[in-house]
Amino acid sequence: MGQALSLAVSAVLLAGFYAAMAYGLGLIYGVLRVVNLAHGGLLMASAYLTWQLFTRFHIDPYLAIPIVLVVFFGAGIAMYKGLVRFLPRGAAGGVQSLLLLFGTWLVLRNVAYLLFSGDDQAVRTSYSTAAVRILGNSFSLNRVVVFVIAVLAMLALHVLLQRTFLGKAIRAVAQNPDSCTLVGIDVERVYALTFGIGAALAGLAGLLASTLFAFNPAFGAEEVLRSFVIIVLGGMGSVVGIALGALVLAFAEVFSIYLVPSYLTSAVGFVLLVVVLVVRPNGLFGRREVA
Amino acid sequence: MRGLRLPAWLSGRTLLLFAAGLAVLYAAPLVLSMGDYTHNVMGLTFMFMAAALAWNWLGGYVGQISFGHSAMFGVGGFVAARLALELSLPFWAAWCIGGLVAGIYALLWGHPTLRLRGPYFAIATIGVGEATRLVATYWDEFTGGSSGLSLPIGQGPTKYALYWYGLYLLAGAVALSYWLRRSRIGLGLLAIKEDVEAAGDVGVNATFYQDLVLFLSGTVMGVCGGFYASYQAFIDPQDMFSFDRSIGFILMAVIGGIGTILGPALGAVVFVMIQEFLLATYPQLYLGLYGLLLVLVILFEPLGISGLLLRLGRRLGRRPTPGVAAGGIATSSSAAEGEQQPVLESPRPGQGGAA
Amino acid sequence: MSRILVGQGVSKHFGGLKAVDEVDFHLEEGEILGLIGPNGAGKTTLFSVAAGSIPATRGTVWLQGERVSGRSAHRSVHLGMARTHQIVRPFARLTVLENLLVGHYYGRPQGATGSAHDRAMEILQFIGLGDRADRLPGELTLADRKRLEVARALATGPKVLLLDEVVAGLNPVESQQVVQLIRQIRERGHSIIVIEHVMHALMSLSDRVMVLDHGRKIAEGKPAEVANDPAVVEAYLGREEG
Repeated sequence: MGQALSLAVSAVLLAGFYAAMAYGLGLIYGVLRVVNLAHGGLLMASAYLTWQLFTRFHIDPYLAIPIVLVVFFGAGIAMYKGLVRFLPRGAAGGVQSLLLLFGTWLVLRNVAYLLFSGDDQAVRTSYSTAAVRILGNSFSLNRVVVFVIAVLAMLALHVLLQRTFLGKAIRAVAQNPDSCTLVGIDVERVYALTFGIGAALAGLAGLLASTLFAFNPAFGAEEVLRSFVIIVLGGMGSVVGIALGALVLAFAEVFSIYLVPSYLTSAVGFVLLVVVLVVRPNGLFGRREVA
Repeated sequence: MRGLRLPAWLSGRTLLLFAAGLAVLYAAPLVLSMGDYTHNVMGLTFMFMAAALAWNWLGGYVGQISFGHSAMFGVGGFVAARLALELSLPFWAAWCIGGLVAGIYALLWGHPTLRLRGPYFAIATIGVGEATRLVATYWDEFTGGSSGLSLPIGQGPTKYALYWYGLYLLAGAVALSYWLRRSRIGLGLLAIKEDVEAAGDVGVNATFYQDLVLFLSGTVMGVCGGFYASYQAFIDPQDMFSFDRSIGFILMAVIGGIGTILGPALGAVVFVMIQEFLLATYPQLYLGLYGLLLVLVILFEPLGISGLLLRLGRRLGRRPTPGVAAGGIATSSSAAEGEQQPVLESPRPGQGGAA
Repeated sequence: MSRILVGQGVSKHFGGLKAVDEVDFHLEEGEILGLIGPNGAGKTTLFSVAAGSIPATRGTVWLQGERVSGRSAHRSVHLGMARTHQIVRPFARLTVLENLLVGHYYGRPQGATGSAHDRAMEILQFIGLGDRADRLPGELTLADRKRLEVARALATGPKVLLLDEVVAGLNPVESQQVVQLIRQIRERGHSIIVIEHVMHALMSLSDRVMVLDHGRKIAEGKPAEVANDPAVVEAYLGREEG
């Protein structure tokens, strides 16, 4: 029983990180209908940036958050204006955006490889090994801090989307971009800003990841997969939905050790995805026809 | 005996071109003197051309981008290798059975996931590829785990002989590519690619046709895997099932011309050439270069090399007939031209709007 | 006159929302049935259920005795029923002719003779798109795209045609032409259900009219009767919320 409880807390902590990781992808997909396959590359780039900031300039990773957010926000806007903006919308655009952003990811991967070699890296601060006791079990301090930051970030995002004008504009564009032009919303600008926010979130997630896991230039593929599973499970429209999706996935993964060997844990998400899609064939966003 | 009547979608001229090309490639090593290395690499390239074409049936004709095709490549390779090792089956039989098993595997994961559209399907395939790789790597009894499987030397064809077997494989893939696109099945696939629900509303059984294409694609991929096993005489799961390998197939098709009939084969040739060049001079740049190529192709010429050739053909004043465009690359009719215009033109009004 | 299409107790619920609620309907052979109702009444949903695109929550629809509800859309087409969409969905990167050919090859039109090309061209001539066979849908006007939608449905050789707001968005001249066209389609031997908001077009076209409101059938009968039915008037002009 003690082990189950410990696993449960583990799962909750993990879910926080997963949610932060998924939100960037979900926001961009929800608003632009573009799957940002470069998301994995951004995660990886941010991990490296955090690591460099720490090893070269001795900036503590958590204090580097503002820097990372700004840098990746800018990167996201640049990506939109330089690349994504040119893609056609609709059927043809879907395939092309996948491939375009995937190509970008490959470039990022290679750049990282050239700059830093393919070896695993990790951010080891003085407190990396510190632990915290929760409900009688011991957990790494980093994991708890990551969880707290992730929750704060999601709350901030929720406030942004619900309470600010930009947030309303973003939600409006997600629903019906054409009508938005009619009421004077600059849709292109919203797209660019959304991409920026999504990239910034990816940057944050990458920073958090760097304190938890070892990483190398290939890092990010599993995370994209997980993010997508979460989006399908929980919906991309709401912070709550993604939080729930993240919880489901985290619990499934953590408790799967009772059933499958540990090396298959990352396959759990995929299996979950297929199961959900088979059970709900129209996905969780089946089209509704109203006369 | 009744005279041979060609089906409506096959022109005599195309058939002639095909036979001529086949004959030329068949005879080439016997007449010219290529080095052994060139000869062998060509054989391998034929296989990659077939694999790229097979990927394109699903990715280009139906429009479902698979990031996990290495799964079938690996399944075919390992089944074939195992059969050759355990049962001493002749290599071509091992390839065929390996291919069939790969095709069935494709149906297993594909049937439920093909109802997903676009990015949903693509990401699911990333998962398929990775999950397959994980399972295969740890299933040592079958795949030899990280140490892989070696095929004994002397059993099976030589690299030299594989040139012609690769050529047959390619010929088969080209024939299938042409048939799938030009017959009425091709029209149905295009409809599915455009709007799968509307296709159903005019009678297209999308599930059946997607499954069919996936099965064919997976089977041919599997056969290619078997070829590869014979060629290298050694395979290991980390390589066969790798994500990078799946990426390679995508690149071949996209660079050559996704959705065209022969474009991917061209792309495979370019890919192998770049690979050879890069491995020699800048081995650490190949991923970035591929990524850059992808970005450039998508932004400037979504039909890749085929697109460039089409434009060249138009400049030279030759209006592409429905059958053959400049350079002998057979594309589909106006469908290909309208298909993915250079992105910097605005999309046609009423076209491409998400329903 | 036999009943070619019959629906019994058809219901479609989306979670708590009853989009279609226990609707019985039938279509006589050679008839034009008008289907009207305020926005959100469930008309298109009823079409989708009848066509097999979405499964019914309850109830069944039969086409000439064969069950079509709850099966797939393509099966309904093979059995002889085709539908058009409110917002047209042509295959954007196929030409007008190719759009029809898809319907011809996959729709299993019965008794279709001659080459596919000839038959498709004949339908295009009939509907008025003969000279635009090689164009892409994006190059057509809205009116022509609506014709294409109908032509494509015709290419599948249906016995029953479900037309969803074919007249909406057209100017009066175009509307008149389309109304004429629908009559001609009936003369060619098809039975038709028409959803329409443009009242005068629908009333002049239909032999019989059925009215839905909030998913339920509230009236059925000859156009004149239905137009004067107080329940129908109320549905359109609104109720006093008590």
